[in-house]
Amino acid sequence: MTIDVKANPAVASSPAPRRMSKNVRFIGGHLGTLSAQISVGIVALLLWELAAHYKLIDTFFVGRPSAMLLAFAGHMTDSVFWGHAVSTLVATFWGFAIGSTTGTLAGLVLARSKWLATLSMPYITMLNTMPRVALAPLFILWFGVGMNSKIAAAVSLVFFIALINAMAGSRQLDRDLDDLARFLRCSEFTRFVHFVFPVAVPSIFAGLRLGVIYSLLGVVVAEMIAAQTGLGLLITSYTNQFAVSELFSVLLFLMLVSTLLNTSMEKLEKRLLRWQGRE
Amino acid sequence: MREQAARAVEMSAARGAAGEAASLDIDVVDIDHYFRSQSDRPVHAVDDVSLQIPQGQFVALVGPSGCGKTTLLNMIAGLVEPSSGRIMVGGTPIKGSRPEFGYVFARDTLLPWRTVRQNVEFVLAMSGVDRRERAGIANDWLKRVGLQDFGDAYRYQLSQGMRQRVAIARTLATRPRLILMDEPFAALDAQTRLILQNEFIRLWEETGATVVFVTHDLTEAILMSDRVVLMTRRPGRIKIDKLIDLPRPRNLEADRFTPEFRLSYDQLSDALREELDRL
Repeated sequence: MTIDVKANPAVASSPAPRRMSKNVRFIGGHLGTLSAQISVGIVALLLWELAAHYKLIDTFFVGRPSAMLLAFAGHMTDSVFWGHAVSTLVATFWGFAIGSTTGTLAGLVLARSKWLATLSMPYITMLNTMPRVALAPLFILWFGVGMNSKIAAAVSLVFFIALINAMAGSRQLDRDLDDLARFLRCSEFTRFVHFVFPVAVPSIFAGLRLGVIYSLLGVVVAEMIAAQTGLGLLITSYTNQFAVSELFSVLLFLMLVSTLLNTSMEKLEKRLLRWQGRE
Repeated sequence: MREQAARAVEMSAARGAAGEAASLDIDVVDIDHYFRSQSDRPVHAVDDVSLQIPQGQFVALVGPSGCGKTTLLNMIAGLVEPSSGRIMVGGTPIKGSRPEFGYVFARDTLLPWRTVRQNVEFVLAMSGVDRRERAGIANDWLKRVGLQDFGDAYRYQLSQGMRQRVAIARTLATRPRLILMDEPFAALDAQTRLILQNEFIRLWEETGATVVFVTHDLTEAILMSDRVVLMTRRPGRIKIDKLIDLPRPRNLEADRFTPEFRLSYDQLSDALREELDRL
């Protein structure tokens, strides 16, 4: 998303010197934009801090940035906090891995089989539109308080996102490429591997990118309902103790983690989809 | 008309002798074709068309849009099954496309997730060319169309003209005995079109392959082909079947100032205008 000069070293050098200079300008513009964006955040934090300092707001309820950052520094060196964090992240990983794999496979199968899709589509739509975090208590009932119920909550979210994106994606093969596959006498298998699946990949990736974030969401919600470890548990207990700055510190950590996950997915996506030539 | 057909056989026999492989004469017999349409009434697309094309002949199919010329082409390619009548190629009825056919589509239909070289290699693989030979053949053909430096480029990095060059290279690389082309130069600007027409003619003249070429451009049809078949407005019938008596090798720039071109053009464009005016 940011610096794209070396996006296609093989070709950019010879046929498109013009594109190079455009990119260089783009980076300059982007750095300017970035510093402006950071400034907005700093100004907001400063206003918050000043409002707290002059007692315009009640720090008992809304905390203050300096206290939040202090709590954050404390958390970063606290092995108990990291125990919670690791528990949440491990569950997020498994929820994502299981949900996205099964969901993508199910989507690809449903896209291939018309009658299976016809039979199951109404139910998939209903399950998908229902607020699935409401299932979290049920998973805790089924799998007990612990890792498994958190993973189940995450899978219930990720599965449908992956399924719907994979299904939509594998229907995007256009008429011309389909004709080519037919003209080349491709077998069903070859057609899938060399035509249907590559066409679906961008859409599948869009689902995976969402899926990572939703996996974290599912895990934290499950932890907030009932858990022995995890950041969701930490959030509830800090809230109950009115420890607002510590609560903000956890939220800050979650925000950083989800941004990192999202960015890594974007990076991976750009690498695998460099044939699209998007900025 | 009969006389002309006899001459066509002679002409191509002379050229066919230079070629080596088996001849694939095309025999289209009493073809009728109906499309299913939105309304209940089927659309009569092709009306009682019969057409003999000897091996090695370059035939252009022209006519108003929607006259069924592409449908006829796709029937010869084995992509569309006629409602009635039969099509024989090399003495056997057409059931699907064959390895000795090549198709250049109106849009380039390159696989965007494959590099230029991989695109050529894929079509070679589908035509049963041995793995060890593919890279060599691909490089050779990329050189012949002037794209030797673009083997590693993706589709998005190529201009429209370059894409169509790859499409031509990948089709000719399989050494087809019958080349089907559906307005292959229509999407190009005038300059690029002329260059590619010349290149294609030059490459084709070495092959002895039959070409069936759909176009709506009369000039292109006359300058490139041995024979122009003009179809009527839907339902498409053959209105004029005319041999073009211009010597080979052709010179697309100079030939358009010959009396033969002028006469053919006048005759065909009058007939085409008649069809366009008929409603």
